[in-house]
Amino acid sequence: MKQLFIDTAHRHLTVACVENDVIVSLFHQDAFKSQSEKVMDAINECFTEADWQPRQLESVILTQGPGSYTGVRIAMTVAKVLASVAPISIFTTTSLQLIAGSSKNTFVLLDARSSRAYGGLVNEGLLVDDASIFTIEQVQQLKENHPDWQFAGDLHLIKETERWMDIKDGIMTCIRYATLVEDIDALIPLYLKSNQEYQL
Amino acid sequence: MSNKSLICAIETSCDETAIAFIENGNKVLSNIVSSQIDTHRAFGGVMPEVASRLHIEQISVVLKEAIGKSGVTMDDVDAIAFTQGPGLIGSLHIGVLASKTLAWYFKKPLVPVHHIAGHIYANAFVTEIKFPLLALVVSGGHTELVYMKEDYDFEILGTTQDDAIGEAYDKVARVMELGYPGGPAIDALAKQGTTQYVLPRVRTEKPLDFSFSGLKSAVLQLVLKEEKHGRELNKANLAYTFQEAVLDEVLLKTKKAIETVEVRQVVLAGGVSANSRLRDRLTKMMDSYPNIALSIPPLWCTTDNAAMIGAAGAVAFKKGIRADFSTSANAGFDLEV
Ligand SMILES: [Zn+2]
Repeated sequence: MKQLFIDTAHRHLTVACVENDVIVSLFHQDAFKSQSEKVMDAINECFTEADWQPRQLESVILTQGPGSYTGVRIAMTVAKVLASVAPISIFTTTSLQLIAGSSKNTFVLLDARSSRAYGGLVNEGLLVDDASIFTIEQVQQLKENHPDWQFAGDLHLIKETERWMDIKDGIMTCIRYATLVEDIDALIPLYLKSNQEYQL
Repeated sequence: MSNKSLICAIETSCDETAIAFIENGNKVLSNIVSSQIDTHRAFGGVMPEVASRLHIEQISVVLKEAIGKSGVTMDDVDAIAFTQGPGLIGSLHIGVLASKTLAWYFKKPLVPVHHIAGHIYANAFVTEIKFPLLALVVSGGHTELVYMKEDYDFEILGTTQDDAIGEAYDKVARVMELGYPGGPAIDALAKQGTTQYVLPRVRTEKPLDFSFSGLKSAVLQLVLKEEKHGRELNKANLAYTFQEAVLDEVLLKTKKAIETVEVRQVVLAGGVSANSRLRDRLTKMMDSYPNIALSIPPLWCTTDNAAMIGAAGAVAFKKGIRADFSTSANAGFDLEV
């Protein structure tokens, strides 16, 4: 089974070719606001390194969010287009699971701007609760109340050093728990903010 | 050089998700447009973030339908043409990424197209394009006089210094409480109107440039003045006066351009070319230039669509214009190279 993993939800660009639970090639880079320019070359490079042809691809696993809106749409556009023109099945997972990987009780937070964070608790690869939006105070409160949790992601939001876990473990965890998309046309990013917030 | 080409074209610069398959630059095999107008009407205008969201919702549906109706397969295609800009950056991104994905998967060349080039080449569907050509491009995002000495050679003779013409219609329609989009509402209402109000003449620094913001504020002041004096506003008459003033400006500059450069053909392009009064007045004006052909495209190819990007893309493809995988949306894309 030749699988392509893509994450463009946060400031990294992560692309991997995975076959039989093995990461055959990997592109993982800080690509703040340049994922759109870099994603196709990254996919192409991974395929070249894996010695795959595009038409051998059987499935795409992508993070549906949360994260930057422009970002989450990048991987999703690639996946929706591929599924429209070829027999490629699409699976989704979340950026929180990618970051936490298989570690225990890990609360992942990602900068959602305006002093807010997208966050959620991940335990051994599974989301304990749905991802949602937190204020910085709420995150700090959670940290005080749960000394047994570890925190990962944009920790500068709570005045700590950023912390990123092993990306390969994150990718394999995502692939393990990703859900198959039944209706590709209905697939939309996990925004967590509604259209109404854009009404003037 | 052979004119044979099969182009898959993608346009997502504003609020239409559109994909088309175009053969030899002027034959439409399929042309699917998913409009977001109903959603944006509820917001009273195009909300960029909402537009991007709708593009990603629509892209797979539109793509499958466009391929299905074309009677060809992606393997038959010679190139993928896409609108690189100008437009809303978040919206453009979706079309650019979709194009890159198709180009990568099917190993096809990528051809970047300027949105305005698309509007101009939409005329290829209804007439043989002759050069030198003068295009009057009027839409919600553009008001331009473009001069083309030859194929795919663009020179902007005049442009708007402030609002685009369609934007001016929308803003005035909002002041007059006529709803969104403003163009068709004002055009329809103006038919029942006559001269009653007076609006100031437009002044621009460069002779071929346009300006509409003065007219827009004059309408607002007039509405406020009538209100203050307790007089009922005759909306039809105001619509008439505003429309005539806008078109006076547009046609005056077009006439000046015709008399400045050598022209064999004048083409009308862009969404506002659906305006019935503009069509009538331009046709009448061009009667006095019997040696210059006039092309007014049918309504289906005046509003944003991908067929027009395919028509321009076919020419750009032949000219060897290409983009690679690192190409990106360019919201401020320049027509003149
Ligand atoms: Zn347009």
